[in-house]
Amino acid sequence: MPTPPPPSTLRSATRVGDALFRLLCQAAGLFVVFLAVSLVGVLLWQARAFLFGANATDLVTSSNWNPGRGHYGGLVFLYGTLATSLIAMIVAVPLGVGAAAYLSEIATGRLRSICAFLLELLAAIPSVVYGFWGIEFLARHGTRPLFDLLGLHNAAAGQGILAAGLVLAVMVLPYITAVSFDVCRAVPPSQREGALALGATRWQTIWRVVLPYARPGIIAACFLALGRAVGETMAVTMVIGNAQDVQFSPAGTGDAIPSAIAKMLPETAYSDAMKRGALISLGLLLLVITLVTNVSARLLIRWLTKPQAAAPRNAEDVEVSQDSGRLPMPTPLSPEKAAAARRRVLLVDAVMRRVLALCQLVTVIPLFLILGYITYQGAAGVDWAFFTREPDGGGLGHAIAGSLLLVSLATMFAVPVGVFAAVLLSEYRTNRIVPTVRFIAELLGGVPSIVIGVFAYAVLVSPLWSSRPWGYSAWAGAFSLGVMMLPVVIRASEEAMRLVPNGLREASYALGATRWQTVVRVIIPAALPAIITGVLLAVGRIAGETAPLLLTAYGSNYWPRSPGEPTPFLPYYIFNYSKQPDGSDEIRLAWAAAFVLLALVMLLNVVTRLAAGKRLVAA
Amino acid sequence: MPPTRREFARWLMLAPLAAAGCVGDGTPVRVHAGGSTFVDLIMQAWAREYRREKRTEIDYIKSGSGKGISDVVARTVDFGCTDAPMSRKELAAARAEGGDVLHLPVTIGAVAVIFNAPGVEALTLTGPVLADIYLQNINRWDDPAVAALNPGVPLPTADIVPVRRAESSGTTGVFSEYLSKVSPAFHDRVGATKEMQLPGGTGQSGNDGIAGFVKNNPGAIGYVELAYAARNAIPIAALKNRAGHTVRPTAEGVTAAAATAALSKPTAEPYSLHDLAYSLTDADGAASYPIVGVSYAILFAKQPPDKGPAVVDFLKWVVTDGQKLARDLHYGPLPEAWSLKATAKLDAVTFL
Repeated sequence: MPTPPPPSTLRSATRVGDALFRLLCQAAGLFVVFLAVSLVGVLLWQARAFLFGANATDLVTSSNWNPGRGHYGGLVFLYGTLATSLIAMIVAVPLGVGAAAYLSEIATGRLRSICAFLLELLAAIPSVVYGFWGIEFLARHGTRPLFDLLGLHNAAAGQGILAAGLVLAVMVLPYITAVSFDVCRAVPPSQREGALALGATRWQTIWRVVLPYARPGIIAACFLALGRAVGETMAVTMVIGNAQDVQFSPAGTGDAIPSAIAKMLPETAYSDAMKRGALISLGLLLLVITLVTNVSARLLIRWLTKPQAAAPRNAEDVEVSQDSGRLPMPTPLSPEKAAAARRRVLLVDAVMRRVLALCQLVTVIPLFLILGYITYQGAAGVDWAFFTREPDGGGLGHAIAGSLLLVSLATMFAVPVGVFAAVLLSEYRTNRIVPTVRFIAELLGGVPSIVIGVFAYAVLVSPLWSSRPWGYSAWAGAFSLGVMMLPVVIRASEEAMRLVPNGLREASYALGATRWQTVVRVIIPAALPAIITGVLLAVGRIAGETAPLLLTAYGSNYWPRSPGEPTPFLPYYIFNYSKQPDGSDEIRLAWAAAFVLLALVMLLNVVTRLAAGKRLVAA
Repeated sequence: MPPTRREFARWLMLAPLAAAGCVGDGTPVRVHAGGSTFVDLIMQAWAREYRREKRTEIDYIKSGSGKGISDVVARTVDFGCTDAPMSRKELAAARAEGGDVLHLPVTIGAVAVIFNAPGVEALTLTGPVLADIYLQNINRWDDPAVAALNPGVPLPTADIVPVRRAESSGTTGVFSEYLSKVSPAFHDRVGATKEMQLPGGTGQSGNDGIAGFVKNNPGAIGYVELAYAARNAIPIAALKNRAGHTVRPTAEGVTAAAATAALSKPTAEPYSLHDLAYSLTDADGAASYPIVGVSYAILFAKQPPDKGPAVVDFLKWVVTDGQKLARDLHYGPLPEAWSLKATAKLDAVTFL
């Protein structure tokens, strides 16, 4: 039996350990805050030439975008962003909520878990794949025939505002459905039982009880989806048609803010301070829009979930009698009328159940369309050379290796920082900086990826403070991906640690363990499966990211040699080769790359799901 | 093809090793470059050939002329390529960053007008009609102005979709320069620019983006470097040149334009700012194709000692031996005099 060290040294050692551990967690939390603050600072600094210039207001008042002649009207992009997001919400909200209601209230057992699984897969499809599918399938075989049928003039073979809105709708659907589903499940069973006991049909229960009860959460889900739609870059830039004038028609082409930044910013980094300023100001505008949506969603939820006096139900439900305000006496219906009314109610119930089922069906159809179309086009192109050669030899092996390098570096950066920050949020709840860190982490999750790319460029590629550039590198690429991963990792880890039963903590403390021993030996091991799941979901999301990498990792035609050099990545080739004509070698590689990327991400998701054994919501 | 053992070993080793940043079998010099998509097809062929001969890896990433200029000025690439010479403003920015920038012509190419009009195999256009199409003054294939130039051609009754580049592009610079020269309306409304602001239509990124869109979508018309049209077998329109002859883009037509245009040094900006910059649009001569551009490699006159020599060696090879690859890829070889001048410029590069 080992001799215990004298109590005094033990105590001081653990005290120092505890303090160090707390400092570490605080440092991680502060680092996240520092990242967000410097992000905004960098953007403001880069935009200063325009933002504090004479015609800064043009950005939101003029639609004349012609930087060559000194016109910086940003309304075109603002319109494109808002119009596509609006279309996405109009399509996705009813479908998503309907699908969630179906999943939660009507579907049971196996059907429910299958649908939930499919939704999760839909959420994991990389945006560049959505874009590829959008131009090749949706625009050419969907919106183009539609416009022809309606006789609408479309200048871009089906591409444009509508196509971009629909792609966004498909992209945000899983978010709305998944979060709404969780919220519906959280409605206490007693509510449903009460309604059913009163003779309400399923549909009446859903419409009058479950959905109103779940309303705050559903609204939150919608805002979350809106934030994502507003900030989406690659899928929109591929599908929106790229025209810089406002066309108020669903068949019109246009441009959106993130897409405009992604296309135009790289070439103005040094040569044109005004144009760069205008573009980054657009990025700030986007940040403000995202911020306002996020904050208003949170305020709305807080306001709606506040305990309120039971508000009177809808006026028409009560059927106030015509003469004066006397309460109506319910007049008993004649048996025939009652039977007719009952029949009507049952009919409505039957119809609406089917409508909800249809919503669910429509929600998962895109998954099969995307998976099917890409497998159909891409599976044949995958051979040994694809994994072992450079583009010269008809393969993209170097890009798969580059993507692996970028993703693993990003994970190495984001996971420690994220987990320590999550420990701060979950285990040091009384710490003064906790509310700030939590707020900032949530906001960081809403920052569009292209804006993070701009930030990483200014920090690691061509540092603002350095006279010599550091150059494009995997470090910079991984940093931008890591910043994107951070909020997801923090959120998943915090949730996971919160779910660790308090009894475990108490038992650990009762045995004399210190705070850090408790966290490291008890809480993290207990939460580990859920943390790993969260990390893998975050990895799935960044694996298909393209926009920030164009500004940071740059791309390369050769095998990556060191993280200090420009590095190839797989989504680049999907983005670039997807533009090639049918039948070319490049388009074959693009399909194959999309297929491989999709397969990898799906595999990661399935493995995660099997390992975790429960449905997870990635938000 | 069965994998070689080396390939297999490399792939197996790469995933874990790449993270640690050590992969190597006697590392060759790797030069990072990027920019113009106009030059990309021949640049990749050069890179392939040069790697075989000299083991140096030229890692050229096409991203548009605008980004090529920006990256050179920011010194984030070793050299860049652009089809539109740098403007006064861009030169000023460059001077502040790293001194003078050299422009070296590396290849000459025709900008082909490509179209996809069902039932139409051959099409003839004039500059002003093309300008009107891009301004959408002409927006139907069976417009009288188009029909008058193509008697007997069954023009479809369909909308014309003019496709332009979505990003800042040297090909656009050449194309809009030509249209500005031949159409006053285009000159006033759009002008010679790397980014055309046009009513309607659609923007696609890269020469390949326009080629892909036009090939895949009936009704479209676009402009790409000739090689992109040729390798994808997209119908090309013939144009009436300055001398009134109807010409199709060919490597010979490009060389003819270069021969006549190089006789006089242009006085207009941005060409007048550089020793070896030439405007080849709307050139004189019966055989000259009217929309011809030069692609320039750009680099600082002062080069870092580590990568600089490799860059200079490669570019010297490009302007001399490399030119033999041009004709097969539908690019025009540089005139002898330009090669000599470019080599002399490269000899004067200093390393520090």
